[in-house]
Amino acid sequence: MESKRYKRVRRAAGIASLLSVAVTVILGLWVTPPDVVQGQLVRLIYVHPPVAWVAYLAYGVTSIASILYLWKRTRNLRWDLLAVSSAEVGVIFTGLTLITGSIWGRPAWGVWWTWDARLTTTALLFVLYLGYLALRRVPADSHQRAVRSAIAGLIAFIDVPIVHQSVVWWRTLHQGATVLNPSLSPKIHGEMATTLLIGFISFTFVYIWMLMQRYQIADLEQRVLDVELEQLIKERRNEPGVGSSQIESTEDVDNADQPSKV
Amino acid sequence: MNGYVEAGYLAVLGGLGGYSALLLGKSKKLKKSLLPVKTKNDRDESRPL
Repeated sequence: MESKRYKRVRRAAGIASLLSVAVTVILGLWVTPPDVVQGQLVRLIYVHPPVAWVAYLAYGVTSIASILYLWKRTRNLRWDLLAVSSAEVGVIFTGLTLITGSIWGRPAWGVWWTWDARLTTTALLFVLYLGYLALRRVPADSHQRAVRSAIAGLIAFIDVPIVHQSVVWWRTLHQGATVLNPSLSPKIHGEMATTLLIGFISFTFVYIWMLMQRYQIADLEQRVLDVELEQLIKERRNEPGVGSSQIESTEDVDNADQPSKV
Repeated sequence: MNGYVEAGYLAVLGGLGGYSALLLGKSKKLKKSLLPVKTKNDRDESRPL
């Protein structure tokens, strides 16, 4: 079962998420001033880049967990569960990045969508990680699935720096980075900068809470599978003509429906 | 404001809220399915034979 400490940290992250997101919304919608160029539209900056940052962070965690699973010295199925949990949360945040970007693009550029470098690479990122999640549904034993998806997760991560650099490498409609630009000089100041920072922190708290919650689900699903497997073994042992020596371990049942190697 | 800003905030809050509700519901359901069910035949260990 999950430890008391894990529960406590998750609860703290949940409370911090609720409070900080509420502060971001209040500051973003009512306290900060409109922009000289963008007017009221600038208020979307307090949610759109922070949501995109969390997507990068989530895929970064997936990649680190994947490496830790692939490296034999640290191999543990828990890294695989962490990788998939983070990837799923990342897909949610990437979807929200695309939606908020589209909502911002309509009044700013006059279109909901354009095949601009930043937009296209972000859409590709979304599809790549959807593929990662789909790959996990392909039937395989837990080790095979973990290795397969760890490799897929690492390949998909190549797109993250491309998304970030796309506004530098190509001529795009999308504006350049406001904070992490090549000259490292933030183009935002005062209460707008503070609100943006609070936005980044608040959505990071949301990510931590979601990751912990999703990881717990992955862990519980694994445990339910184990219980069901034990049940199957018990039933099989009780069948007439099947001795207990014929089924020694859960591995035997696990491999029962797999084609034998020639 | 201009409708677009509200729509952006609503999309983020709705999306994150919806996914959170989904996670909470799934976790509750799984925890329930792991609870041992007492049957009539289960012997009460606390009672002396």
